[in-house]
Formats: sequence, structure tokens, C-alpha cells
Amino acid sequence: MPEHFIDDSKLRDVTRSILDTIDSKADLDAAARYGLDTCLSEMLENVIFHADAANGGVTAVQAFASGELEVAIVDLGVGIPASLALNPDYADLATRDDLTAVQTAMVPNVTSTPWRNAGWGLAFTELLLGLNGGRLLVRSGAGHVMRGAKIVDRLDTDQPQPGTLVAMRIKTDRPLDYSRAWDLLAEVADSVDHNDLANGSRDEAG
Amino acid sequence: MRLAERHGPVLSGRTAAMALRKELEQELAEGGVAVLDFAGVEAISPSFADEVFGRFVARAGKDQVRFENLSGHLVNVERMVRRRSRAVSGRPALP
Repeated sequence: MPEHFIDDSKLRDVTRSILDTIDSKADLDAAARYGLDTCLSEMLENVIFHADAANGGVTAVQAFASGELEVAIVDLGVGIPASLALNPDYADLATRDDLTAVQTAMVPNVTSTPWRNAGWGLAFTELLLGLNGGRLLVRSGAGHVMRGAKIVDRLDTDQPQPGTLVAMRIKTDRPLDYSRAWDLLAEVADSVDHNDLANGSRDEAG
Repeated sequence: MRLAERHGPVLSGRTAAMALRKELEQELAEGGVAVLDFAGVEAISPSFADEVFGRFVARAGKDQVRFENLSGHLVNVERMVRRRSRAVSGRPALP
């Protein structure tokens, strides 16, 4: 059953509902449930804090015959390119094209609101799902980024995504190694200097 | 403050973390040291970690905050957030 949420007051309930739905379809162990819980809260809060969507967001869970599960979260908000452009450090990258904007948003430490966020949610989710063998799909405008066993980043101008769609596909027969995801996030975050990323965008823009 | 008793085994959500931070800051303003007990905490989301290990400690001062019963991976998380917090100490101040 799709869940609708419009502000942060229901997010814990929505998260619990999604996890209960997943539990009914797959035998997740406690560690996997904990890992999924952390990602779900990050993705749901992205809608509340970044999307500026008057009607909030909607989530849905789909089970596949392969045993995989997919959790999708969609909103009709401003979209990642417009949101990221609010941060002057990334405005050039965010407005170059929608694909560049989505790719940039997925880099650790990148956020449109540095006074409120660390910019780790999407990166952490990508790492966790990558370790699982699953995949993360992020679509916003013409930006289409899929990370997992295959990386498919493309500009989809034929069917742009209004707002933002995040779809997390999980292999339920494999672990969700939450603590290893944190280790990898630390490594990657340390290797990305967001000043270089921002300065790079300004240098290229001239 | 026993975090698992209040939030369960998973600490997640920026909103919940911000509310916690403000409560702790209020307690500190009334004098004393903030002691956060992580016994029973199994996981923490990036936003919650940033709020508690990063922003709260940065505002309160590390001498005013003590973490107890940090398990193996939470120790690493706290270290990582603290490192990042120092690296970006020039970021805009919280409202």
C-alpha cells in the first residue's frame, strides 16, 4: 500500500510501515533492518528538507519474483538541480545539466543546505546498497543515475522526471552491511574535498 | 540520557536529532555535562550522527559532552563525524 507523507511528523510511522511491509515479504535479519531503517529515514527526510513539495511525498514497496525488493520514494517538488543550485558552491554544477546536478548531489559532503545537513544521505545509501549487491536509482529532471552492479548515468530528456524519484532495490538474500557502509563513507568523504569540487565548478565556469 | 530507551535501537532522523540537541543544549545551559549513553543502540543514521557527534559537540564544546557505551562501529562513526566537523569548521553557523 503506498504511503503518503507531507511533513516530518509521520516519518517514523512511514519508516516503520515500510519495514513491516518488507518484513512480511522477506526474512530480513535485525542488522539488515537496522541498516535499511537508517537509509529510509535519510531518503524520506530529503523530501521534507529539500523538495519543497506542497504535497509531500509518496512511498511504495514492490516485491519481485527474484526475491529482490524495491522501495521507491517520489515527490513532485523542485527537483535536485533546483535544490542544489541554492548552494552557491554548487550552483555552476547544478545548472550545467540535470545529470551533473544529480551526480553531484550523490557525492559525500554535498548538500544544498550546509547549515543543516552534512550531505551524506544519498552517498551512504548508495554504499549500503552497493555492498548488498542491490542498486540505487535517482532520477530528477533529465538526470538519471543508477548505481549498483551496473552504473548507468544518462541524460533522459525524452522522459524527464518531475520532482525526484529515489528507488532502492535490495537483495533480500544478501546482507546489508551497515557498519561497513559507514567505514566506506568515512573513506570516501575524507577523499572528497568539497572546496575542490566547488572550486572546480567555478574554474570550469571561468 | 539513555538514547536507546528514548529512541529505540536505531537512532535516525534529522528532526529527532535536532530536538535532542536542543534539549541537551538547554540542559547544558542550566549547568553540568551532557552524558549520552549509547547502550542498546545498534545503528545511527548519517543525519543523526552529524547532529549529535558533530553539531552538538561543536556548539557545546567537547569538554561538556561525554559519550558512554559506544560500541565498535559507533566509535568509528563518532571519529569520522568529529574529523569532518573539524574539517568543515568554517561552515555556516546554525540558526
